[in-house]
Amino acid sequence: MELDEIIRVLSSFLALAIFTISAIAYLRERRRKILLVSAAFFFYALKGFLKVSDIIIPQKGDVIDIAANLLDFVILLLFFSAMVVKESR
Amino acid sequence: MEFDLETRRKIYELIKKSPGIHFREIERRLKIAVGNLQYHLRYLEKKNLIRSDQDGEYIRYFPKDCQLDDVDKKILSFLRRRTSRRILVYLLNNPNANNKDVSKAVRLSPSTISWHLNKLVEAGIVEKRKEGRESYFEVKDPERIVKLLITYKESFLDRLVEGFVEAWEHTERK
Repeated sequence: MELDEIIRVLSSFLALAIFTISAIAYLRERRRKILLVSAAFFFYALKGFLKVSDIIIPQKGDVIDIAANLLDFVILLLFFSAMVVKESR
Repeated sequence: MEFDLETRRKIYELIKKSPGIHFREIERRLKIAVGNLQYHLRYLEKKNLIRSDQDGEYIRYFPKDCQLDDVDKKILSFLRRRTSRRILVYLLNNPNANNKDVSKAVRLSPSTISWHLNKLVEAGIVEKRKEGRESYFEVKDPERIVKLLITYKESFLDRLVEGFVEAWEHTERK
């Protein structure tokens, strides 16, 4: 495994850990903002694992790249939504 | 009240960590005056949190298993949240406080405090009393909350989750 792949795996595990913490935080607080951020971290972890999966099961074509780019967009959209969403207080 | 609570927590945690610890040892380790320690130990025994056994010339203290009912579990879920916990401690010390008082004491925006207070009222932990346009808040069962505050111990996961929630609360206030 190359160094950049090791870093990607580590990042994915870190994102998974943050997703777990944020999911617990959402279950306790029930706030939409936290749910959106939690989903963003989940997709970040998913993107990392998806990219790493390419090493184990090489995919034909640009499927992984397209999916990763799409996930990047979804992640940023989720963070943006979390910033602008108003909690019903 | 806040000072008493902290002392009782320390005594309870020491007894839990060292079951069978005797009076003089608690006094020595926590550096609490005899009369004060006797008063807190009697309180903890009365609340069924600890029991004492006479062992020769020593009185030994043991923790009692706390059976939590559904209401206790619901209260504990609020005590795990730092903001709710701070609000409850403030209301225990200052019954009939309004949103502005709590907001000033806890140093969070009135809207954040209002959100937490509404959750506490919905859960039946805090009582809301309206007087004109102003609302006043009071803890419904202070004895139960105090007992749970003594036994509650923040875990590492609680700290992580709380840190995450606080980071978002800060961005909301900016």
